[in-house]
Amino acid sequence: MKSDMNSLKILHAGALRKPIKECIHLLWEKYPDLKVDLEYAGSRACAKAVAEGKVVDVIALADYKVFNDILIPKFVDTSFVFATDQMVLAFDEFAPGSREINAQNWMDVLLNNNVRYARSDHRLDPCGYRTLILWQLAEKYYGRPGLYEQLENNWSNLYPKSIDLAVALYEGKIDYGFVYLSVTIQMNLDYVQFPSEINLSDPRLAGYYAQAKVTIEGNYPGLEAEITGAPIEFAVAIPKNSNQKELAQEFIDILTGPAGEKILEKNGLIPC
Amino acid sequence: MRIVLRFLLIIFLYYIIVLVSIQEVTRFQMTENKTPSAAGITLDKMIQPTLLLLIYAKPSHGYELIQNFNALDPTEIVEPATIYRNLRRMESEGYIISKWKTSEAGPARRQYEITQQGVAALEEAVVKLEHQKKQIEEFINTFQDLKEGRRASEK
Repeated sequence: MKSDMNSLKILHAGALRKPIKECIHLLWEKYPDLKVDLEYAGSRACAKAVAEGKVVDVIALADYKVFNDILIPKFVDTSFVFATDQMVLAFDEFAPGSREINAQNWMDVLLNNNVRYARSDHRLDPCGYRTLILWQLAEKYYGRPGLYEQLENNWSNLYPKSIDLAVALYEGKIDYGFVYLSVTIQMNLDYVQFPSEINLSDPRLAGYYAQAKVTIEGNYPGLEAEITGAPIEFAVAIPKNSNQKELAQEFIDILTGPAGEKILEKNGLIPC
Repeated sequence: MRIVLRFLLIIFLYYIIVLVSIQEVTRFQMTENKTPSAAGITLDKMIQPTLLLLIYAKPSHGYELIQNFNALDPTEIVEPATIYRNLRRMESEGYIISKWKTSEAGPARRQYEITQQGVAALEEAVVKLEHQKKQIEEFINTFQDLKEGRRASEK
């Protein structure tokens, strides 16, 4: 163990805020005086910050592919997949159409002029590009040509990360929002569950999900990167420039061990 | 003739009752009374035996196991969450162990391997399944015999 126990720096996807905090409490049982710096942002924003020189000891993101795209091999050796999730449509119980919305008619409810629905920013947050992927898959699954464009042209709000969207929903600033099931469980929001063909939860449908593609700005100005639809997988890693590698590993051992699994499950994630 | 048919019907009903009782007792033993070797995976929906068999064939991670999982009932979809939960349960009970395995292009995932206890559980499951298979065959044969006997008596 390194002698400098003053600070463990953790940077994580907003959607992981609650389980990460609960795992820190377990670490504090062993190191009560440990100082923890906790920061969160959209996963792509987190990875870009590390690539631009931010020093952290643990980085936990909502998509392992963000590690591959931005951080591996220069800033991180390997990421570890520790949880899965699914996309859902969360809503405010007083939203227009909230009493009749279901897995078959949700798009018609959203495209009503009185409804405010939101997604997170696909350039910063995996939940954002997963929403766009879900809309593309929904167009095929429901046999509704032009649905993707209709949904993309009519959203009312765009948030940097899914947790901001969930908070806006909780506060009644928007009516509907595309988020992870775990976030709706943590915030006790109502939600519509999508069929597995579009909710990005099932590895058996990986080939089907891969039909959808989203283009985002790449790692260098002027370059574009293509994101392909895939099952949702959260991953964690220790950056090469961490000053607290052993302590960071202890934290990851908690997150991925039996105690962490209970915390993840309680917060609506599926430990894997 | 009617007396014979009634007699056969009573035997048939009695057989069904005995069969259901045996199934219930077997299910209870499988879930509640683990043997001293701890070989006691649940045969419910064949989820645990199927996972153990896949891992016995090749150490695999959860993602791969879900892709290769064929449900006993093809109309039933076994959710990924159910598979991951069963894997964790079997690991905590000692039938499998996991370690992080990094693939060439992808991330590290938890890879599962079967333990000696897991192999014993698989063997015990096979014995129980053989017994159930025999029961089902006897059930089908009895029914077919009764059906043919009924047809013959109606002619």
